[in-house]
Amino acid sequence: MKPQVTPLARWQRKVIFFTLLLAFLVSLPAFIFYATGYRYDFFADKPTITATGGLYISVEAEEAAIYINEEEVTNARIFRQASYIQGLMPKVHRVHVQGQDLHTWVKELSVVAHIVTEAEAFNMPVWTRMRPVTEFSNIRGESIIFASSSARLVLENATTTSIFTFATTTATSSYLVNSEYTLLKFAFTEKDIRDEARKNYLFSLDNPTFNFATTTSTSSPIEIATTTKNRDDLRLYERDGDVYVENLASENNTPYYFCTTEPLPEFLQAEVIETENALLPGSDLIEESIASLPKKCRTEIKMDRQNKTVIDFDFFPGNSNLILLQLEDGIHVVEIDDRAWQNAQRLYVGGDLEMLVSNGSIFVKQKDFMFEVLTEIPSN
Amino acid sequence: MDDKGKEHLLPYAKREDFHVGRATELSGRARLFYRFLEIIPGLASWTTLIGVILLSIYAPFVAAYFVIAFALFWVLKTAFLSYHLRYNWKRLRHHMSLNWSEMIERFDYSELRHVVILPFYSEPASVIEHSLTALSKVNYDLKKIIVVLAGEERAGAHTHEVSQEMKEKFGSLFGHFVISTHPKDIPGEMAGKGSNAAFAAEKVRQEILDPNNFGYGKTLVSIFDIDTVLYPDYFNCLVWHFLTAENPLKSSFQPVPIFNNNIWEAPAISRVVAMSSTFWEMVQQERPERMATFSSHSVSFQALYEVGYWQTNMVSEDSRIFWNLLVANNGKYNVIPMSYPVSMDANAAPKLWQTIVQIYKQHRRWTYGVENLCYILYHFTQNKTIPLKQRIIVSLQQAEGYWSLVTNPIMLFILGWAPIFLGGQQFHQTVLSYNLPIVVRDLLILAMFGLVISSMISLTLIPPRPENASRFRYIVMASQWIMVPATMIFFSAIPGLDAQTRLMFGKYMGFWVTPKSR
Repeated sequence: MKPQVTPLARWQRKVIFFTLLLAFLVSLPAFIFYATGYRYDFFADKPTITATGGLYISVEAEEAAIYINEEEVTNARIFRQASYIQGLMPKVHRVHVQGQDLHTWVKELSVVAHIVTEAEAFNMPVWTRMRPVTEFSNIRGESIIFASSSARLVLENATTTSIFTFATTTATSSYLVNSEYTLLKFAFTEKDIRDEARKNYLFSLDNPTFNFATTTSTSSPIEIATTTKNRDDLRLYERDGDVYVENLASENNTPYYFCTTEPLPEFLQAEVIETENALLPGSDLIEESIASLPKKCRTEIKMDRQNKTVIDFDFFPGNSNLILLQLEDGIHVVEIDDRAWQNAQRLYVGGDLEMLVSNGSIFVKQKDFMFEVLTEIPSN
Repeated sequence: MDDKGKEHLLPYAKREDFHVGRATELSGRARLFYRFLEIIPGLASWTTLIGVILLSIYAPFVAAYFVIAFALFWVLKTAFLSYHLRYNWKRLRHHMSLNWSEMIERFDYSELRHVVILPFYSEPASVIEHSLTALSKVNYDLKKIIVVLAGEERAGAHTHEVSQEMKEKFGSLFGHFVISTHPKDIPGEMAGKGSNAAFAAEKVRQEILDPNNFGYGKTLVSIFDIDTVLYPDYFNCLVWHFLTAENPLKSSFQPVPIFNNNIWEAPAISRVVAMSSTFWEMVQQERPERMATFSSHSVSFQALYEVGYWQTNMVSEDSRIFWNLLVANNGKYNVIPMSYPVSMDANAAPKLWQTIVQIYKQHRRWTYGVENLCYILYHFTQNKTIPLKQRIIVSLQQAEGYWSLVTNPIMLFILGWAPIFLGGQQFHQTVLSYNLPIVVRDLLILAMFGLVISSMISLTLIPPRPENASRFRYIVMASQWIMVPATMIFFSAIPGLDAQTRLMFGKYMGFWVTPKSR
């Protein structure tokens, strides 16, 4: 056997080294171009390099599918509840997110080169699902619904997977008292008092009357303040029958839907095109282009109340982009994001309602029947 | 300069500062300069890491481009190193299959003697016996081998008892069996392997080499960690390399340390770290110009004698001896890779957390080898006889090595994401911000293919499966490489940064003996 006792030959190492160095030098611009959004269309009649943008769509419902310009997007999820779609041409794209038994979310979003446009889709169940909160339950844990209650009315508009029993008599001695019911009833009563105080206060503002200086106001500032809802850096309030969302965050923390980014100004577009054509790593130029994008931010957004009277409003639990609007025909979930339009999805249909958001849940009181509205369809 | 007692030393080795271990041993401007050099590695690493963070905050686009470039560089570097690794693996296996006895038949090596120094401290007798048993079974004339069992006085009665026990068992097998007990608390010495080995080498010179007229140039010294188990043809292979070397007395001979003695008992994390160290040495074997001696190695006694043996005042004496020799020989000294294995212990303690602590401390000691960079840079400014080109290349290679050891894993696996978190809203809305983690992730996955090669090679280097170990362990051993990113950070980068920071602040480290248990 011939001994092979010398290390790797120098020339061999040099060949490997310079081959890899060449690979580095050639592929680095390609990687940087790709990462910044440049794409080469091999199948176009005239193959060219174009600057693209992206969409980042958050989707709450796991089963929902995303469509862009009517084509389903696959393999784009980077997190369980978010999809990043890249390589999109700079123009307006129609995005819709849909799923079985869910309302469809549709939006036209403008995609700008080198920029990712964010959007948060939401899909409420088409059929309202609810969990009754009854005063009593039996020893099996089943909710007791009295035949005389307005539950039948509710069950016409909603479904439930909770187990309940219709009681034919009003005798309650064999039932267990539901503490949740007691607390919820108390909460609704408190809310009624606050709402009444608010109405009186607003009425007094519109119809000033003479008062002695020592007269104590019936409504304290705290009570009045509850008509304005705050969450994180957002404030939700009513003015002249409309509901507005005000951004209280600093410029850097302003939610994306308060701002719009306009397409590149002409002089910058020319520079970017020049860069693309030259196929040079125009990193600085891209950076400057993005820095120069005119960004317009507003401080408030008016919520679409669909020309109906707003009865009540609140933030949607666990989501600062969604608002609950109680209109005359029921409760609706409306997004704050008003690019193109505000998607509104009906959560519960019906009149003579009271709505309460408590501990991350939405409760409704319809006449004497209270229930929680469930916003998610359980996955199979 | 008073050269009394230094006549045998090479001219440059006679300098008072030749064996400098730290800045405090110097005075005046030299001290200031050496202190500056001690600060440089830590400062460079911290500046880099903090720089990436600052860049991510104030220039996130530049930081993102840098991260992409760096990830791509890492992929190609992995390919480059994997190529070297695979080549050395083939060579290693080839060397293990060769009949080295036949290969050295054409040489007259009858006058060659081998001094085997085995420094130990408090290691159990079983570990020492295992090593000596393997030594006694090598395919070589044992009468040409002088074994020096070098214990420490500070270990107390253990040293004497174990030494005597081993001498009784093995003393008659070898040409000579010397027991050396390194006295404790010698002024100017640091308790450690270097001072022990230097003492043992001088003892064997006085008691064996000189009385028997064994020529220093014909005596090869092999210093082995006490857990080193030799493969049968080690000395034949060493002799072949020694006798075919262009300048054998100006060369050190480096085997491949494979930490596999206890690989079936060691936890997965220990196996990965141990094999990674082996692989690094295998890669280095294919680019000897970047090599320094590491752990167990061999060198002529003459070369050692000319520089006054191993340094007694610093931690990483195994590499420092090479730099001593390089500097003293005016740059005309090299390491010859043997591509022949020696087996050693993977770091393993009775409990997992103890193992983790031990690995960390061991690697901190190894990476404290950055003290050699100060030594190299210092003496490269003093010894102008060394060609300038060599000084520049070696300095840059070593500096890059210590810098990348600490910074690369942290930048790659942690700071690579910094622009996304620190880049601000303007950067966050860009395609670049969204694509950065995707591109980096894909590149790192590509780099992971290098680990597949590592995984396959590692399986060929492990000893036969013990009867009590199930076949399933092979699957575990193949898949354990997924831990590499974590081990690179926690057992390479962080201990390295720890060591460099200590040196930067003048908190000099002592020698920490890795506990051995079987």
